[in-house]
Amino acid sequence: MARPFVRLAPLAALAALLGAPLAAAAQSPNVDSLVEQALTKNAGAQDGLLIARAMTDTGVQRAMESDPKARSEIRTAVHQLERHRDGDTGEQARARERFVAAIKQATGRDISGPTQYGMIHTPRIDVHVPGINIHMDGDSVRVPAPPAPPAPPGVPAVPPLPAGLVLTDSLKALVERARHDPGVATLPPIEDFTAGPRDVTGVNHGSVATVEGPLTVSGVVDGDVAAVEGDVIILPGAVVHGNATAVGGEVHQGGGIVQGEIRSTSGKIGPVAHVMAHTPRTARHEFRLSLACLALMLIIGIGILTFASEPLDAAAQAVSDQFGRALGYGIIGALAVVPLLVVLLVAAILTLIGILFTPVIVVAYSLVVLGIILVGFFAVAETTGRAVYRRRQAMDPLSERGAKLRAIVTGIAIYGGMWVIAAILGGLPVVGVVLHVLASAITTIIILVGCGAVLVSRRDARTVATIRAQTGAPASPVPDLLWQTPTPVGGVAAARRPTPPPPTSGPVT
Amino acid sequence: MRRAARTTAGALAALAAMSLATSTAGAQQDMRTLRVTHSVNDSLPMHVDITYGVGTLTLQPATRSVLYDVRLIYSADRTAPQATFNPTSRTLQLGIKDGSYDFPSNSRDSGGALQVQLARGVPLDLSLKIGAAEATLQLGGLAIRNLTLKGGATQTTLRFDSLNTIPMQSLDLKVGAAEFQAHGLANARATHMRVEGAAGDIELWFDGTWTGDVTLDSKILFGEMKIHVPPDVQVLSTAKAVLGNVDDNAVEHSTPAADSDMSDSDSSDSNDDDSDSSATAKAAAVHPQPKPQPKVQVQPGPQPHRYTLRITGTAAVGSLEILHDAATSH
Repeated sequence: MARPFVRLAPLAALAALLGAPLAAAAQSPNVDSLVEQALTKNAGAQDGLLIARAMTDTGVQRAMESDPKARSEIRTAVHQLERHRDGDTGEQARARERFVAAIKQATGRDISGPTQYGMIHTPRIDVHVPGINIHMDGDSVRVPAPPAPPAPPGVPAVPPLPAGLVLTDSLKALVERARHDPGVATLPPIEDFTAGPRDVTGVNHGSVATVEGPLTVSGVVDGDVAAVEGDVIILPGAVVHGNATAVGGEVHQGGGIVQGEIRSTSGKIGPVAHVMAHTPRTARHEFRLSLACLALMLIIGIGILTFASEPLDAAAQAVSDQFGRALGYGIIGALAVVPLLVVLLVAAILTLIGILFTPVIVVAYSLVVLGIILVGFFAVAETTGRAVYRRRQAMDPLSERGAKLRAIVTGIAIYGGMWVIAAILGGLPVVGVVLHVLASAITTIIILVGCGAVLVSRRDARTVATIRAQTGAPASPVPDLLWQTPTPVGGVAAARRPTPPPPTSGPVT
Repeated sequence: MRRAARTTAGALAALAAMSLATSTAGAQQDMRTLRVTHSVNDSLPMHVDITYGVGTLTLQPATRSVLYDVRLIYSADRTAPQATFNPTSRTLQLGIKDGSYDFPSNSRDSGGALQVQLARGVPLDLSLKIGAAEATLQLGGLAIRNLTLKGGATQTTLRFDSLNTIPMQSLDLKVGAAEFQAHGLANARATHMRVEGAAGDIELWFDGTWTGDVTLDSKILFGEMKIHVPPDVQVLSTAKAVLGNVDDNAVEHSTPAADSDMSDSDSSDSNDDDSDSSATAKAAAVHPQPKPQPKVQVQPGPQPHRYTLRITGTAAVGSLEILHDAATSH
């Protein structure tokens, strides 16, 4: 009879260890939401059983409800267990040690024994877990309710953790990250920080701070108090003349006085790429923006080539043949764009009937200006692209349309790529500024020349139409003296001098 | 042509891939919460500047004894929070730093919120710049000395649920393409108000407790402004319409062309009892009241006008409508 009982006993103990705390956790209404979260998160983890057993202990729960300091310390310890769950084993052990210490501080119980870590290999039948006593009686297992916890005033003071006051490199790095957190105004210097929980009593000159632990203030602090990855607890009677800051925690003002500002942050600690400076993330943002603009320009360019090829050709011809004139027209056009709109609006208002159309005029005018800018820009891009492939032109296998497409894509890539490069190198102190200024200047000139080219081409087209109307004969679209004018972009136009067609004397026989 | 097409397609695909890669890299949000409070040490005046872009903004009097209590939920990926108090200049700056807002890749994840509580009894110079946020500002019970509000494409509700505890020296509202409502403006205790709107719908309710005459300088462009006034408050409007209309539902227009110019010197410049009764009579003529029931017919004659709302300004390509339907509580 005794041998089967001994064989079954470890299994029964295991069932009790695993089942009872989790069942109690599910039923207990007092379990803190954070602890519930911890239970869920750590369900399959190494320390899951440890957390579950401790937190379902009604003694621990009562201590957390009645003692804010204990509550804060346990919460911080659970946070650390979560944080180091998949990390360094040394940090894990330290977090576990702290959790055990926090429970001990709250309830006076030591759960650091081997059985309390869920060591199921124990051959002992009579398992004693603080808060949960398992007695084997025949073939059944009973888990009686845990005994009431000792009264909070009787909780023995626990000395600080062994690693307590020493700041490791990782903790120093954590403080520095917190210092650059966008939600943090100021933190005391690193010399004022200690590690782990810290009680502040008596009169303290200067600032007091801790990392990874609650900072409990019951005395007077001349300067600031701060906790990183922990809470700040201001007990009744405490006076803080400066600010109270909890980074990754809360400030509990339980009756004490904080004369300065009370500040707390939650969520991740430290700067985020976008926020930490206006350099790396801004450059990346600008890079994305320039890429998006480049892609948009390519799409619009192909659209204009497809649907507005005629004005594009005329403008490109004007850029190639009359660069200086186009630039002049562009400057004049830029200067006249606003006054012309005003004149149009005034004229519309004067006619009274036109008053109703003023919004339409504004929209239509804006669209026309935008169209001129776009066509002009792509005309310059096409001309530039053609200039790049000028040497290959003789043996180019592409059709005329294909050559145009290639020229536009090349031109857009050149002018858009200029902005992409400026965006990539924008973070550099001098080079970035120079590149941006250069890109802005070139883009301005391109737009001015492009707009001027559109205006010039329109004017030439009208001139041709007038000549046609007056003479009745087709006229050259290019003025005679301009057809071979060298231009800075297109070079010398390699075209045959336009000549009027010979007069037809009669039908050829 | 085929080569060019291939080159173009390849370039576009590469660009799309790069854009996608760079945009998805920061897709995961980093939401953080900042809570800042300060105890009340004195009752010296304080300047409060609030700049807020996208999210939900609420502003109300403090429910406990603090100078300010701020809770800011922000996305650290796209915004930089600002919550600083300079005790020397007594300036509190809150919200999102100017120019630090980066538009979200999609609209559903704006997620930010700014909740501000300000001390009662401390004179405040309050300045708000609201971008595209949804704002609820309950300022009744505060001691606001000067109020400036600039709103962009925002949906804002401004309320004075109770009296401003000190007379307000200036109240300036500039609203963009927004839906803006102000309730309890009589409780603001401002003798002069300036409201400018552009391409927005603005409703101003002058309900609440009137403590003096009010001058409202209103300018509306490409939008609509409705001014709701209690029936027992005299309205003297000199607002002009430029390609728009000004419509007072109580005062009969003095000339056929009054839609474009309501500057009636007889009605606007005089403030004696005759003009009051005349205006009321005209109002009754334009909008005949429903037949009064015997049990509610308390006052046999027209109610005397204790207070006057003077409306000036222009409605340019927009409409300004004055409605006498606000609740009164003297």
